[in-house]
Amino acid sequence: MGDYALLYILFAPFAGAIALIFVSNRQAMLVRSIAAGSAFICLLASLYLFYSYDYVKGGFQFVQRFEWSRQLGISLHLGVDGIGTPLVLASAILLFAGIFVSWHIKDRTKEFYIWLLILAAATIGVFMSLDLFFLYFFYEMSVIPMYLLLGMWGSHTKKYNEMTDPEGLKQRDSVGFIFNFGSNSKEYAAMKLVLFLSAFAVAALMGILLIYKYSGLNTFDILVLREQAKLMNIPVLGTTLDKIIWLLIFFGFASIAPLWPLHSWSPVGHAAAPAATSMLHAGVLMKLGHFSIIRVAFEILPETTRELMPIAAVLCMFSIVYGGFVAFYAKDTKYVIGYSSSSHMGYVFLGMAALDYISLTGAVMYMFAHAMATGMLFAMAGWVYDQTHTRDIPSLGGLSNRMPFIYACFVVGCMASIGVPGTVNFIAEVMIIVGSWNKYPFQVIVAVVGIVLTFAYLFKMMRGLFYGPMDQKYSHAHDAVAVVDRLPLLIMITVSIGFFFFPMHLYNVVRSGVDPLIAKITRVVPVALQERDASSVTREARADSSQQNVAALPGDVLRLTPRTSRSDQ
Amino acid sequence: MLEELASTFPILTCILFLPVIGAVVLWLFDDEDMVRTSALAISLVELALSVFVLLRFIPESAAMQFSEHVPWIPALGVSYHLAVDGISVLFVGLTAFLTVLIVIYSWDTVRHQVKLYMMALLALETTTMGVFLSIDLILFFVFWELMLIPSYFLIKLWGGGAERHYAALKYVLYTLLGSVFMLVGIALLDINYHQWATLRHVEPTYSFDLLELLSVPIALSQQILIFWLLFLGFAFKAPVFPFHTWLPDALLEGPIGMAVVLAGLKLGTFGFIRFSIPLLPEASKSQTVITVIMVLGLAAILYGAIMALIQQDFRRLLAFSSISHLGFVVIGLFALNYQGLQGSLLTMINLGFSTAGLFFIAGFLYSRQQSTQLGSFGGMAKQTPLLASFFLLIGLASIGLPGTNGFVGEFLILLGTFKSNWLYGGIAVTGVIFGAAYFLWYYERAMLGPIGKAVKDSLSDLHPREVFIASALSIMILWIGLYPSPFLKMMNGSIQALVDRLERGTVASIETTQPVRVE
Repeated sequence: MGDYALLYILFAPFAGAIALIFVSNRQAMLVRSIAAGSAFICLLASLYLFYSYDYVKGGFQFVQRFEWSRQLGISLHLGVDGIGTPLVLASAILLFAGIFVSWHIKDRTKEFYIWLLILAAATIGVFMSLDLFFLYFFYEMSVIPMYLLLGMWGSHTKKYNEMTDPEGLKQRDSVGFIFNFGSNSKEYAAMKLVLFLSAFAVAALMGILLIYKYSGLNTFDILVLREQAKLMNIPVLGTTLDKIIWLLIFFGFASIAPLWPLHSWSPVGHAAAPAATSMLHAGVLMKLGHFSIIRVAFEILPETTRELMPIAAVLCMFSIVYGGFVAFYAKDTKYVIGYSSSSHMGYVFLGMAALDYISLTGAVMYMFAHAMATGMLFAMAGWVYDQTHTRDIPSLGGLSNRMPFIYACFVVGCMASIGVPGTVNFIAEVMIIVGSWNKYPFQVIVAVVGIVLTFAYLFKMMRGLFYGPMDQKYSHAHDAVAVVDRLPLLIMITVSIGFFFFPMHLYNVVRSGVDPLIAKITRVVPVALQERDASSVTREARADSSQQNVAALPGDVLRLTPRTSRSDQ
Repeated sequence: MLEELASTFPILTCILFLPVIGAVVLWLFDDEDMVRTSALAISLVELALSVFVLLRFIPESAAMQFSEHVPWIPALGVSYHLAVDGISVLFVGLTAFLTVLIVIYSWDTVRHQVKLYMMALLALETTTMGVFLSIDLILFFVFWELMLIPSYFLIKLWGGGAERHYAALKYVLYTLLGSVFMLVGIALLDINYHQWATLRHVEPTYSFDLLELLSVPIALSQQILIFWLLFLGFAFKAPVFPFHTWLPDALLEGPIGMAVVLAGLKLGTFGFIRFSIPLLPEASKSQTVITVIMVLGLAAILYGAIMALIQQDFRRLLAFSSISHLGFVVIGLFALNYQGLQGSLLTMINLGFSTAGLFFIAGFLYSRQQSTQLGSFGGMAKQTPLLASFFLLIGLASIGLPGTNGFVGEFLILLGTFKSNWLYGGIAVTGVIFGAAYFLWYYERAMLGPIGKAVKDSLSDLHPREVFIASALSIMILWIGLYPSPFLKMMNGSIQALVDRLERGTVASIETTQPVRVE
């Protein structure tokens, strides 16, 4: 394996998806084993990646580079640093768990697994891209499969199912679908999610193209851009260009994170999605937002980040409190978890906004921890839905007798999500709180209130699902007994608890990625030095790019040669 | 002035005339099956010849290759001059490829006057090839006009809609209207050449040859006049907004085969990149021209996308989506830089697979439900999973999902537009969102959800012929999407030459390029 670990991780799911095309849906077991097999290879390789990442050396490791277009400066440039490594691992774990969670899908199993594998592979692709073009490529690629996963295998809301409509069409044919809030059909959720995310992805794309244009380096390579791009102090529209780029990148990617007020697609989408998709989506896709902001905005525009990151510190409070309150009053299990996810993502933004070694490390660890916690909760909400065919909390209750295993796991999942000691979430939360206290004490207080809220809504949901009298129509509901049903939950619980007791490797890996980044952002360079620096770097960059241009032009294109083939004399 | 490489064997002439000769041969047959088989054989041979040209084509070169030159009307300087370069060679392959698919598609969907249909189709292929292969402007114009005859009959005689006679006439009249202006433009180019040649005593004194016209300077005012004349010709054909009104009618009323040709082969925008931009570089660079065309292009993107969003008929939706895509092509072309031109050229080829592919899908839907109205679909993915899968793949290519050909072309266009003017680029990217909206929304209503009331119970999935068509298109879509280098390499040389030409302009070329006679 060795150096090619990233290729295995990235292409194993793709290979699985391609292999599935040639299998018939009638061989359900074969379909599942191919999907599980490719996810397993992906998981093994990411475990190898995680444990052999050399945190003493730091930097980008396992780098692979394939030229894609020399003229445009695009290459498939893969590599992971301390921030990408744990997220790749989280994606691989959730993909593997998700395959088993969706083991009982009967309807078009093959197609479901194909799209799930593509979704996961594209997500992993973002976490290891060192080229802006491919970062956007994989980002966009992870959005579109969501549409199909929701639209085909998703489920409607209760309100939509109960809606009476004489036409029988449930208003699906009206252009008003954009404002059709009352009826959250799965199709509505899918469309809202895709339009919302692609609209903001386009904003991020504009930012990327502006970086490409104004850096003048003729490359999309992040490593080159972060060293050489000089985007500061270019006046545009009454402000400077770097601010515009930063805002485009930040809000473009923050929409998937999701930062309040760009969150409204997320609970709707999570609620409609099948369990495995919600797991992947809340678990890792949402982290694409934070990750891309760190990878693009933090790396390429450190000074602007220092200047503008307080925006995130303000908005994250609204995320935390608003998400928490809505989760408390929501009646749909998946809405509760969806809003809780978007509330918890506020902590990550807080950790990022503080721009502190401890807080950013905490934020990245929280991304990893939250992936496990929310993955568990969505998997169990999915199990309950499969057994009872409803997600309506008031109509459920007393399930603890019917499904003791799920109930036990649910308690652990709630603990993890709250951040009770014993789960890795606790460590991450403490780090965010400790790291941000100096800079944003008020936000920290809000975050602590958010933890209390988390307690409240998760225990309220737990009570609603598992305690009290049980409606007799759910008496056929049964527990997760088979190995395939228990395995995904056990994996996620093990990871969540395991990293509480042995957090140091995770911490060291993340820290090795965070250190240079924060050092670069918080570095205060004297003005005189800044100017000298800038001029020398630009000169180098110019020399470099002119060389590249010369190389890019094949000489004989320009040569004027007489026409020799004319037959008229 | 560009290098020319002649080949020993007149392969382009074979490509050009094989279909029309084949059409005459078809006339001799009476048996319908015989007619179909021979039409398929002819189009396959044509495809083989085109693939041969593609394989022997020297990539990364700006040279005019496989050149053939025979004087035709020497007194007027008209000659029979064929050649391919990086700009046109891919279109030759695309035309042959699509014709094969159309013949296969028409196997059982065209039921009356099969012989005439196939003859018209092959004649159409010859004229289309002629447009792509001609280097002489008069020869080009001849094929440009001749193309209307088979098109007219194809729409009028084999169209499915009640308004097909009207649509056919509208198409012909619109294109003719534009062509008249274009002919004046061509004449002005010739007169300009004549003045220059007489002053310098250069033979021949008249010429319509692209390569010779490229070597003379043209005054800026003259260039702008000629540019707008040519623009009208190409804009009606393309069609560029607001000259597009014939397109939805022709696509809706005409047969699927014709729609594939009209929507898949972007002759109008090919005209821009082949003639307008290289012949008139200063005019193309002038601020007024760029502003007007960019505004029209952006208007087309948004207008087409919004109109597509509210269409109930799938074929009308495709018509407006292709107007929107053409807006992208146009703004990419007039970004006038390497990436923009490359992206536009690649997108023109891409549309030949994706938009044309969606028209085949529309045909598959039509043959099952006898309609392409939304009301007659709904939840069909359950009954026809294969159809739904191919529909999805080709549709995602048309909205530019990463990994499909659409993404590469669109990205290059946006990159080029951003490089030239980020404001235009900023407006253009919104078109991407609308693109996703109209396709996905339509797909969701037609294919997903509960089964529609009008959907027949006995709906059959794709049969082998249809699977062949759809998979051939899908292979090309994924190939270009994942590994576009071979295609980009073919066009690189010519695009670079075009960019150089734009930088130098016509005036600078006087010193460097005296016509050199080789005895």
